[in-house]
Amino acid sequence: METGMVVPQLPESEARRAPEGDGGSLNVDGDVTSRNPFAGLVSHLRASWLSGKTRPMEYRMAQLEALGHFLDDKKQEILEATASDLGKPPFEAELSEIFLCKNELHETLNNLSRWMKDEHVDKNLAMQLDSAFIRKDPYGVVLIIAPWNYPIHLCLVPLIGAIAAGNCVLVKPSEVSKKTERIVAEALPSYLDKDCFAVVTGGVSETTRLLENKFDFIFFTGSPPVGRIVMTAAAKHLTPVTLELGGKNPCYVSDTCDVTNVARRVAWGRFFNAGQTCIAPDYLLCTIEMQEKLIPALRKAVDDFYGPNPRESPDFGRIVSDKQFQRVQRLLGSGRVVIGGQTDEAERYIAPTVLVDVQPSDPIMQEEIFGPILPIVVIANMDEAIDFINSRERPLALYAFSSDDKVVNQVLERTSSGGFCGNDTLTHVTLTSLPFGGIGNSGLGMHHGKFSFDTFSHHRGCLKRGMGWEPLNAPRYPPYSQQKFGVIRAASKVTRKNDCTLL
Amino acid sequence: GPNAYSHEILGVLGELALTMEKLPSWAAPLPVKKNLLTMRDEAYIHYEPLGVVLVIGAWNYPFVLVMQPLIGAIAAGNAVVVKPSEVSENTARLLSELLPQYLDKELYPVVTGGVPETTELLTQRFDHILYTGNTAVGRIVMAAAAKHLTPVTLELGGKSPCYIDKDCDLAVACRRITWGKYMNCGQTCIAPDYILCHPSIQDKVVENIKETLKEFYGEDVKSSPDYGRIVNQRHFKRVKSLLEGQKIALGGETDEASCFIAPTILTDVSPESKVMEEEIFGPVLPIVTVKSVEEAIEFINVREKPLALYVFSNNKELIKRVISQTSSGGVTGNDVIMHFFLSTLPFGGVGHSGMGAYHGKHSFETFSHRRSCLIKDLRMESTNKMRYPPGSQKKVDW
Repeated sequence: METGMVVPQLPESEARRAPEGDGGSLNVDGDVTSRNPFAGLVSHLRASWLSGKTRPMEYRMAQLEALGHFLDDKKQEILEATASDLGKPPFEAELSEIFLCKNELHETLNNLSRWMKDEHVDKNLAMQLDSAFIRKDPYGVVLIIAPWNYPIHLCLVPLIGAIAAGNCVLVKPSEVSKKTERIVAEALPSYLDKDCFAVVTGGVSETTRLLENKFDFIFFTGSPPVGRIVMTAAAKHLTPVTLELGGKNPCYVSDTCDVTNVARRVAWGRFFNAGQTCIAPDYLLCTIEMQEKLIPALRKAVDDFYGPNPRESPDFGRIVSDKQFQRVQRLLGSGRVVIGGQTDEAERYIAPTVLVDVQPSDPIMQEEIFGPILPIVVIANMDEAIDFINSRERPLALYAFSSDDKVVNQVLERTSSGGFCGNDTLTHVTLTSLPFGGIGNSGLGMHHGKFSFDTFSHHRGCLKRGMGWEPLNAPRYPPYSQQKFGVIRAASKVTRKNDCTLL
Repeated sequence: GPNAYSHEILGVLGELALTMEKLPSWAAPLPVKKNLLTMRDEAYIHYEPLGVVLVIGAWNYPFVLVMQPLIGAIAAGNAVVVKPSEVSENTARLLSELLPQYLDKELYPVVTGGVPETTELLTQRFDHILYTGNTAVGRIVMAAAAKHLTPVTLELGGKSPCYIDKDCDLAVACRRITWGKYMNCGQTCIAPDYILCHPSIQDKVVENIKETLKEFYGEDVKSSPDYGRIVNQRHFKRVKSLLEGQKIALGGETDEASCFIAPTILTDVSPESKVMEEEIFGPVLPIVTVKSVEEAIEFINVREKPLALYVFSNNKELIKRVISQTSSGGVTGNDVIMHFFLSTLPFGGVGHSGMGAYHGKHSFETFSHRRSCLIKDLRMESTNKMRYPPGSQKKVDW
């Protein structure tokens, strides 16, 4: 977009100031700190970044090892904090907040030196004597904003990637999971180099102030509306982002399947963490015949897992806050309860619930449930299920259950989602070799394993040539001629190969 | 100009041939390493199109900057809306007439127009936007994309520094720099924008470039068929104004009627001067003197991250150091521009010079969604037992 466009000109002072050392700690105007309370901290991190401290591999490994100690030392406190914040069963907390984090940590520690190496690339004929590689550069100062549902995991896993990639990091844990927030704010910094890693706390207004600062990368996990706000703020500074958002994850169950196993796997995925999982199966799609078989199987699964009164089970969680409780409780009005439905406001308890007779227009089908309620929407066949899925926003995860491979493949091929799991729920994200990320409304970018390292690195294309062999360059210089052009073409041609098979 | 074929079309043909050859392997599902628990499952990355992609081109290399992204977007299976720059109006018209004759115009429409049309276009929802242009408009594109949570690739610009070490073959270095700086009359996003060198070699640099210019364009540059012009009056005036108050060591002649600006070198340029504030995008080469490579590195790092960075030296360690202690979209050592032509290297910016990358396989990946897929068996339920409640310490310890 060029001439004619009224290009917003940067004000003189903005255009001239040193871009890295900005932010207000230089006190350009008097009340800058009240306007931007985090300016000093961001400046400090940027200065540390510019010192080059976080680049050496040994430094990064040491910080990552320290994170491992944090998880070991503070395990009990983490289990207690998440139990208090979310009623998280210790089994779940140990699995998601400790075990999965340590997997990521070990994967990273084991592979970091290899990931950091320059990636040499294939060269064309003209560059055979040159060195060509992709250098993985840190971005600089990274901001990680974490949500409340897996409050340690969703802080630490991106943090591991950001540190591994050589960045300085500012972490903003969720204020909603208060006890865990305190552990992150108070305990975590003492394990890491305070010059390069910091934690800030606060609510919406503090986060809004925080986002006014310039970061070199922002990693956000949360809801789509806030994702938009984060990306809009990032746009002002041309800061690249990864947004791990959410949506309604459909779960299609075909008529040919092992009903018992399906019910267990779906119930497990739906009711884990009392449904507060971004990749939980949000709603189920099946025929009326399958529904009739599923309901007793689901009822049995719930009973096997949580006993006759899930409220008394130590293995079933609670809703994180009053606000969320009230939101989820309202959704119980859709359709008809066939399993569960009980609630207790004082405990923020909502029973593992299954709803039937749910219409696409019902309130429960308009928003991500993020609670222990599984609505069943009846469809006539797989094609109808696929059409239903495709008429809605692309979800973070998509599930299809069938004993027939072809059915699972059909659903995969004809839909779009962040990730896909056939014949199970949730488990695709525990494999660190698979990228975890959304598409469309469910997010952009990805992480986990090496994808985290790559996400937090700038991939810099580098070509190192020699000063000799200058005559080889002659064809490219003016004065131009057909003959010179012929030489260039011959040296750099990529021909279309024929598709012929030798019998 | 007459160099259009070598600069633009050859690159596109190469990219096309490469893409057609490699597409089957790029698009194939990629199996991934599994753990003990998933050993019997299928785990792979499934490459899928994003949907509808918007490609916004620029005027300086109007053909290649539309075609190369288009190739990648089509290869990845998307529908593409092509919006060439209205400034290079002849190419825009050509594309809008020719492309529909060769491609399905329902899937790959060309939209022409200026600011109002592009603004309107950006209110629509796309599944990816690739924009090539300047930093200020890059912000506008990203802000518009944010409303729809649309991922973006922004190929922007900046001031690409070129450090010349005392220990180097100055004649060769200056020939290469002259080529990269003055091609397309300096209107190249990865042209060496300014030079950093020790004061003791400044004069020699000027001399060498002067000699090379004669070699390239003859005694009378204005009459060389190989030397370009500034794209329009507005940019002509902009570039000309950068000469004010500067020490002109070479060139400086201008002719408004033909938007001609001679190949120009400015010496002893002050870092605070106007010519050092914005991307020059014209045939004016400022030289800023620095006492050491450390000073050069600091100079570079205090400024916005550039799209390209160049360093000339016989000392391999020095080149390594410059690369390691700076950040930029891409780098070429001992030459300029050339990293653009190797499609196995990702081409893109960082910071104010952009985000994301493309070329070759990187285009395919930019325009694809990597969907992680885990396909399990509905039987084998016993392996799942450990994860289900009721939980117990025994399960956790195992």
